[in-house]
Amino acid sequence: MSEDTDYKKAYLRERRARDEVESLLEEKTRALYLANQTLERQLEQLKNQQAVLINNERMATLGTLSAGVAHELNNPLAYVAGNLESLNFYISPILQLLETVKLLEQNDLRGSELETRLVNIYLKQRLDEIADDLPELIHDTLHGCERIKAIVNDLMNFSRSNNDSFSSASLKKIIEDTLRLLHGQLKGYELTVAIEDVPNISCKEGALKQAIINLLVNAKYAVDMSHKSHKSIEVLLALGKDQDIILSISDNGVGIDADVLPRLFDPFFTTKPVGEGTGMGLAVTQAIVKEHKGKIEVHSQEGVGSQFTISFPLE
Amino acid sequence: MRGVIFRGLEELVVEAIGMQAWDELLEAHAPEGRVYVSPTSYPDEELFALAQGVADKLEKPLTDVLAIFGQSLFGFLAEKHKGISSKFASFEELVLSIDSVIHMEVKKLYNEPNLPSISAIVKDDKTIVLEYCSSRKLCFCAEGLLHGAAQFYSRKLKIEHPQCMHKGSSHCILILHLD
Repeated sequence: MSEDTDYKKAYLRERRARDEVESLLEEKTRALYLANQTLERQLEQLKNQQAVLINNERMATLGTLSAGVAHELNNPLAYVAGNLESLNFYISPILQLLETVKLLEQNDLRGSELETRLVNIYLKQRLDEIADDLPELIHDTLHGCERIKAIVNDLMNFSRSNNDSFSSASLKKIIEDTLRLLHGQLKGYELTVAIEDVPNISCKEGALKQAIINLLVNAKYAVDMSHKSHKSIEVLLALGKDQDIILSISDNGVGIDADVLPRLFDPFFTTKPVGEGTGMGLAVTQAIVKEHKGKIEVHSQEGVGSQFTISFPLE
Repeated sequence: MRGVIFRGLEELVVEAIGMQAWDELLEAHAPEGRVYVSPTSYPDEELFALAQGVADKLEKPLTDVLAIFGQSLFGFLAEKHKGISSKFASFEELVLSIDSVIHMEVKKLYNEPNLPSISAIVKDDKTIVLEYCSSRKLCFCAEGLLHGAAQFYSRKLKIEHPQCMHKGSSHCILILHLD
């Protein structure tokens, strides 16, 4: 077959067709690539904004916690202060005793004079009571200081942003730390805690504590609003059936209106009165759960209560 | 290997030894009914077999064929992607931008994961030292492409190839001497 024939023309026509289609495709591909780059940039911006939002919400949560934490600090502070006051009274007899020992050392006191002075100090200053009291006072004061230190540590751990990198951690410990942080706020509520030992997961500790605080603070609010005499909040952690870990926080509070449920996780949506809620708590909680590749679900019945269930995949 | 390279070979073969020769090469070395289109990936072995087929037909060493192919491929690609080739005012500018600009454009269009790694350093006004590294070891084709680029910018080029992957080195060194 000669190449000057119709066959050659057909081949060249087909090749041109390929060129045109490829050129069109390349144009679209380039546009798609640039659009994708723009989207990636915007996604990065959104991630940064979300991080700022989560941090802001954390600071707001810190504000919510402050009243309870102040109360928690007040208790140990009260008895530490009381103990120090007692110790202050004990300084004088102890100093008198030391002075007497010093005089004895310098040979300025002897015999009956020394005896009289010692008996006086012992009887008038009730040295036996001081001796009984001192170890307990010191022990309780140290315990109070340890308690204050623990509360401040919990608070600092929660607020510190350097906790916000993924690392292997125990959910059990995270929940226990969080409950300790909320100890003051949850006094007077029937708190049921059933936490099983579950495998560690890779997580952001600070973020998870924030999510749990949000759910517990909401549960407390719902229970308060119900005006029930029996105020119950339940925290459960267990292995799930689908290679996951289930964390459930439930309450016997007012429950959630069925109309509200679909919007519950929307940013800036709140049913609380103006000034009482940012409307970001559950949105941020959901974002945190998603960041951990988990799922959050809510079941609620008005007048009966609500249950928030988070499932984290096992690694 | 992306189809655009096969299309470059097709163009060269059809122009140089005819449509029928290309058809015969396809019959011998490609799956039945194969049509090459630029954005699709095809097995590397297919390109090597076709190139070897051309060498056999022309009774020339494969390295010579790859060098000729590379030279022709540059013209084909420059014509096909005028927007990219027009970005460079000189041969030197183009060579220094292979990784940062040209390969970036290739990634945009073809999402090609196996691009060679090429770095170039200007030694003096007339000398550029280029390091080439690729699992495909197509350094002779790269030489051809450089000759094609020099021709495009009307420059005379001689290439020394003192270190080669085909001789066991981890990468090739190409020393480009310009007029």
